[in-house]
Amino acid sequence: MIDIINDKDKLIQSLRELEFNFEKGKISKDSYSSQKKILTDKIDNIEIVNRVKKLQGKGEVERTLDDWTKKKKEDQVVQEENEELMRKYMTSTKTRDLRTTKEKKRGITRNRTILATLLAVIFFSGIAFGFLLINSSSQASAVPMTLNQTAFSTSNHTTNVTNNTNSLNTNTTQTSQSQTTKTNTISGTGSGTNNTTG
Amino acid sequence: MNIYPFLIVTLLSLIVLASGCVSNTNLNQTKTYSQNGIYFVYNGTWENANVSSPNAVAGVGDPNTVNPQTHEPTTFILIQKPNSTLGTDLQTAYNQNYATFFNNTSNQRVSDANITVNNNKAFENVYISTSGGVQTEMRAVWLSQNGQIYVILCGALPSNFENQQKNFNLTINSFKVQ
Repeated sequence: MIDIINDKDKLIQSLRELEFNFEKGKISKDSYSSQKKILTDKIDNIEIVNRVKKLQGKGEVERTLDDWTKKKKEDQVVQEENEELMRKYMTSTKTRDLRTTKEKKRGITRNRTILATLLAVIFFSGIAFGFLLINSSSQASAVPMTLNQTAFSTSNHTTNVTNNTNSLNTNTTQTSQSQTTKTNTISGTGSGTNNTTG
Repeated sequence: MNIYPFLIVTLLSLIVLASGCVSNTNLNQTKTYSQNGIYFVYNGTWENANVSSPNAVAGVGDPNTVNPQTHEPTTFILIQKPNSTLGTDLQTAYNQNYATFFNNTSNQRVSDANITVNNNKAFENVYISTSGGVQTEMRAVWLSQNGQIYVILCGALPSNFENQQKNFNLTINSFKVQ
């Protein structure tokens, strides 16, 4: 684009010199006409290109080299500022990502803690429930039980677990008495012979 | 809303609670009785019973089968040592007892067999005893150790009698005179 501008200025300068030389009579009319036509066509082409650029929004093609240099420096400054902003922005994004990740991890850790606590509570509740059942079972076993069944056909004397068979002679005597009483009862009623205790 | 965490927690809760319940039904636990010169092993959920039977040495029963009015368990094991059989052999004592035992119509014979308990000769009589309108199936094992005759009387409701055989066998096979 810079070459186009310089070319246009050069072409205008060349056209002026051509007109000056033709007025002085240094060049012929045919040569003047042909060269003028060439220069004019080139200038027209440059102007057409400039118009097209303007229509495309790139109309600042007619700036000088200094303008372009300044603009380039400005663009560099802006670009550096943008890059710096981008760096800052990217850094903040990373930080934000890290924060988000940490928050997610904290959330997961919190959920895990809640779940572990809940399971622990359930576990100990289950154990307590089991112990409760065991205790209730042992409470049921605390109900006094009494056995008065017998495998014997005759009604002997009654003894308890706590005071049995240390005095065999006494027990034998009592048995005899019991059997005697039993015989009398049976003969009195005339019914079946044996009754079981209890 | 995601319901899977709740389902998992519920499932785990049921498992944990069920494990607590299962721990209470450990039937492999046993207890030992070692008093009055005898030793035997019985079901860990059973308890000692106060015995008022003639010549009873020991008694254990299932507390879950206790009648709240009579305090009598329907599932029990009673150890008796008949004094009247002193000096007589096991066969004679057994025959004498059951010669007239079933004259009482409340006792109905089921089976009668010679058995072996710990390589020792023994006798087994199974019968159904009716008392107060309640039938109890009895398994009386007569055995002799150290010159003394012992009767291990095992009883349960007829509907539960077969289920209790393992508990009865546990005590019968572990019975020893100290």
